[in-house]
Amino acid sequence: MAFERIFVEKSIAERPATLAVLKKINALDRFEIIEKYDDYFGRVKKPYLHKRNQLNLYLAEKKGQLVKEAPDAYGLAGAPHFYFVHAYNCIYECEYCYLQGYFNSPDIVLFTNHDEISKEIIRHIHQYPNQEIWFHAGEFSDSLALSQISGELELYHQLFKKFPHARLELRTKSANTKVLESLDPLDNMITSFSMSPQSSVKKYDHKTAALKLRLKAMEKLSMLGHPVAIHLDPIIWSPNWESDYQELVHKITETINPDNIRYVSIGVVRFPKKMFKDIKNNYPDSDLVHQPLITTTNDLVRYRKPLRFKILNTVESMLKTAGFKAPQIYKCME
Amino acid sequence: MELLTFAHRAEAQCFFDEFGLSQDKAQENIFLDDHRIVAILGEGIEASIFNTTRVMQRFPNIQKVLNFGVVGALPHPSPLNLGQLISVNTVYGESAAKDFQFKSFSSSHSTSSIDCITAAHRVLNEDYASRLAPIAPMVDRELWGIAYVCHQMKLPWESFKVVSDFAGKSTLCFEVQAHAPQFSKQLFDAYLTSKNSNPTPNKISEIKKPWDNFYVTKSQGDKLEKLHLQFIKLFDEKKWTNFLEHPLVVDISNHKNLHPKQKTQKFLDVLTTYLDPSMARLIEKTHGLKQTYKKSDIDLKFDPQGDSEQFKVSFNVISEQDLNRKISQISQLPISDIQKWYEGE
Ligand code: SF4
Repeated sequence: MAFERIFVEKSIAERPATLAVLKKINALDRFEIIEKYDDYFGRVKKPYLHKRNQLNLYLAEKKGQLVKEAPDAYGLAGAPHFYFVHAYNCIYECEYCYLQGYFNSPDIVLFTNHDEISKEIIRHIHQYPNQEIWFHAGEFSDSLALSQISGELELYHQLFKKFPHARLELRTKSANTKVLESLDPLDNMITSFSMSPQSSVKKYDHKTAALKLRLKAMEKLSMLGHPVAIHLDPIIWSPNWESDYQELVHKITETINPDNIRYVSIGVVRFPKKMFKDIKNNYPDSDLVHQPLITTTNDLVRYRKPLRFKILNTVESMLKTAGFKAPQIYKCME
Repeated sequence: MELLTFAHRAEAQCFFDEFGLSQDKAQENIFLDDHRIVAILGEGIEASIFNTTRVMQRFPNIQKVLNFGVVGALPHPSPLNLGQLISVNTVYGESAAKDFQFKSFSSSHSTSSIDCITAAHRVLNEDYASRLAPIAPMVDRELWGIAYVCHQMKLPWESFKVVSDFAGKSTLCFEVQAHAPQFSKQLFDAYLTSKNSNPTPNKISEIKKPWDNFYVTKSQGDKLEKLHLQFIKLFDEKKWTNFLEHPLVVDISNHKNLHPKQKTQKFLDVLTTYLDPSMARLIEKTHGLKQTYKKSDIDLKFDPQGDSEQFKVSFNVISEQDLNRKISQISQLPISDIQKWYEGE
């Protein structure tokens, strides 16, 4: 991973976690010290596609709210869901990614004050002493893509080991499971792989791991005893969507027994109107722009209800036919 | 017509030497021939915004703006070389209060991935240069203003810069002046090269569009072009040909009782339906129900977007008996079926 420039906040420059990141990317002698990352990050509108060849890295301290409540329908219903922020932005480039309009910069920020983030997670866990409580690590980035550099997984592994009723979901489109493979499996640390038919990966998920590699990574983790899950989200309509998803479900169950998959989420592509505008700007020729989408009165861009339901119900029944049980499946944002 | 902009006349010298430019009668900083307008805008963001706007107001037929000039290299891990010619990718700006402008502008034609920041003041010390450096590797004094005006006027812009010195305390104004003829020659060569390399747009293949024979309003025309493009993107041109041979489409073309404008609307409906396959079933089902109720003078109005199962029922009443009859028919509406249709069944 070649970053054009690396900026480090003065206040954390000497911290072991910061130095460890710099060491891993061979940048101990080529970083620039700045006062605060947000003196530059997001201060000017940096074009999203600059992530292709002008991607900078900021190492910084996360301030403000370190753990936030997750939006409704974020995960399996019935338990409180939170996310914590250990990074902003992602090295991959999915055409539908909502981050493209979110930060006004595609640069990567890695927060290295994991101790404080951990304390905040523990504080939340204590608020739900006897109840299942979920934490998600991939709200503003891919949870595993940079995990061998960012170095927080070991820490969170130790933390969640102590609190078996709290669950951690790591969501990824990578096949970068190296760090996880070196850790003991924890029943409450779940790696979820976002999967799409390979034709869709090729068309929309630039730089992410190919479907084959994601399946392999999932298989490997599962064989080592790590709990895994799947997100079939976002499903993007194409003239062959049904056969593509049939094949995908087949490949999944060929790779791993449905009983060994904790849950599968299903969701169709949808965006806020403003984000769809960003997509059109960044990818004017993308097939995504030419989907049969409508804009609703509350400024959502999505398929019409009959198509949304048709897709969700069809994929759900494909999963059931392939051996998944109803409680394993949940539909997103409907 | 192209507008060629420079901060200083020295940067444009070669252009003056090569083209027979004559001074504009109304504005003394403007020079022109039959193909181009050359404007000397002066230094600073305000001057470039003010003077670019003035030129554009005077010559409303400008279609593209080019900017040429020198830049100072800022401290950067991969430093620029003196004399390097750069086609600017994106320009950032600084406000007079030494804060950053949030807006940035990207060139329509850049071939490089190098950005520029337009400073509010001359960069004459290291602190200032270091403060700007995280944003871009080079600094000028006018481009952000030009790009800002282009953005307002929806005009494309392109900028070529030569690295003349290192910004900071080693800024060498006299040296830069001494090298001005050489920099101007480099900028002129860049201009000639860009003129030769700007591709002419590919001719769009002649695809058969049946609405060429219909009566099409402006908004229908825009919608048709959009849906047509969507069709070609999702499927392909072969499928488009098949679609045009579809009995529903052929019917529309051959229909004798349809007004040309109605033909266009019908064609639009069929095309929309075809692009969202779930709509075809929905339209077919809701249409059947509408027809049935129409016979009893009851009007059903379904969501034209096909997104909500809510629908309107309207009717006129002429007697109590008529009212009771209609209420009884309405009570037999297949609500749960309708809900299922909207759930894709
Ligand atoms: S992997 Fe996720 S975070 Fe990264 S670009 Fe794709 S959608 Fe965005």
